[in-house]
Amino acid sequence: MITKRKVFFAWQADKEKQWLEDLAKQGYVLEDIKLFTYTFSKQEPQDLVYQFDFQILSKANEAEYLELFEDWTFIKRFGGWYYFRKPKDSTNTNEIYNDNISKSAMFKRIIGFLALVGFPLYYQVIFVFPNMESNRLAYPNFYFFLRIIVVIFLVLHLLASLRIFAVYLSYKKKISE
Amino acid sequence: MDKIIERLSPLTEASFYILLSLRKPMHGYGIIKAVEEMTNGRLHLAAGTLYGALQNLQKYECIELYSFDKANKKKKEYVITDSGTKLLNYEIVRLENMIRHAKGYDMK
Repeated sequence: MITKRKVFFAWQADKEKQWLEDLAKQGYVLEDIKLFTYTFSKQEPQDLVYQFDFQILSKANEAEYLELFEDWTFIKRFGGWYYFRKPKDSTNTNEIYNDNISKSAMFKRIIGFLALVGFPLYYQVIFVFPNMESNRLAYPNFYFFLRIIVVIFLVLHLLASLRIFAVYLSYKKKISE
Repeated sequence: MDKIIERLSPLTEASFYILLSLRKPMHGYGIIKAVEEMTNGRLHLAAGTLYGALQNLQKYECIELYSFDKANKKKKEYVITDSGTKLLNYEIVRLENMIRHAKGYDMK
């Protein structure tokens, strides 16, 4: 087992897939995933395809969901992301979504999730911080550091939302054509 | 019922073939295989696409869980409902009309 550290953001899924598929060609097969940490087993070099799905599922629904992936190896759930791999084949079975409606629906779920987790961030920045006495926000108070962290997350969140919204719109456009 | 037709018609290719397969109860992965067989391998329902379509058809009560043997039920099976059958019939007539209208069209 070897471990690699690497950072990919939600909108870099294609880059992440490419990285994993290149490693499979060198014989490194993804077995586990934690925050920024990928664990691989060493096997024969092979052509694999990786696919990621975003789902928020209850335990019961998850079982029902995973039953459909009999052709795939389910690697790991990481947050709302489900990681799958399988040997690449020449037919039309290398994707877990094969129409634009279901592709756009996945991005819609991500947008919903981002809206939910984003709400407290924006609430903090728009309502809480401006109404605070300025000395509480001064260095080295707790709120000084909290504000920096919140602003960093907010920028990342904004970036993710815009990127993902753009992808969503591109699929939406394909549907109406 | 009209509301379901209004909302779901025209059916996606995936939903159409799911309804067609579920005239008899089947578990999810069985649908993938059945549709492949029916279309001689032309149409492969991707697992994620199938899951979304099953959720959607369940939401509109066009299909339901079929619990024939609850105790021994390892995999969930689905089956078409009455509304699902009506939707499927509506869709078949619609498609037949389209083909009829295109008769006499010179494909050259």
